Amino acid sequence: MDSQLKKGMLELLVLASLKYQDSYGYLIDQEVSSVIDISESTLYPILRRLETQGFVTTYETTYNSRIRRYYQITKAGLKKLVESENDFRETKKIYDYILR
Amino acid sequence: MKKAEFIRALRMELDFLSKADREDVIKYYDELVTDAVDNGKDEAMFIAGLGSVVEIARNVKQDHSFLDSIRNINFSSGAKEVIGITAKVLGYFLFVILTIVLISVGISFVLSGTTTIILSIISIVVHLDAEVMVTITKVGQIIFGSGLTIIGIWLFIWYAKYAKKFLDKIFNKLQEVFKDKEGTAHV
Repeated sequence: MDSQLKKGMLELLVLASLKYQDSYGYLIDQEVSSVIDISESTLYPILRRLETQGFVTTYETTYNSRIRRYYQITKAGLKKLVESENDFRETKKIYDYILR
Repeated sequence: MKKAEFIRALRMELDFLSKADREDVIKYYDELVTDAVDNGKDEAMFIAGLGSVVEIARNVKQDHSFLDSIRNINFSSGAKEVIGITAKVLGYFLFVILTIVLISVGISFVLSGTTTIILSIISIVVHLDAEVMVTITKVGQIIFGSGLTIIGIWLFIWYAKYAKKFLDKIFNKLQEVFKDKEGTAHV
């Protein structure tokens, strides 16, 4: 897959993994890599990017007497997910035609 | 490679970052590896799967410049907002000045107009024996005074009716210009 496209897809996958509950680095990593092949090194920039753009926020809690950073999707993040559904419908039409 | 070794190597690769940004990356990978091990993954194998520290650093570097550009956009749109507010404040300031000028001009026109009318009428009445030429002059003054009065009243009406609309139009134009600029900044 085109790297730029893949980056966009990864952003959406990370947001989707946070759709129903907050999550942390390793869990997000596992969820996303169950859908798409990633070298884990790409997720940190994605998370940072989502945070800077205001699609996720972070908070830290103690787990097993160490600090774990949790990621939470924002309203803007949820909106982006909904927008991606519309994008998908448009893209699907195009691919339906390409693959006819 | 064990975690401590991996973290040390990564920290060295990330020396182009500020300390805060570097430690943020380190914290992420430290937590990731610890959680993986807690979930039964083999430490060395998981770290090997992360790719080389050079690769990780390159990814971070690429995104670092991206994040910088986002911050710049945020800043410039913030700056635009400030400029927008400045333009508005300046506009309202001009609006107030214009209001004061128009009102004082209007008042002086109305006053001088009515005074001329009244004085002319009085002078006609008082100088009953005056020559026809003088009377004509007074009539001329009455017309002139009426003209001034009408202009004064008209200025009031114009101000009440159109000035607000006219200024609103200017504001809208200004806002459009700012919006256009914002649009191109995002492209």
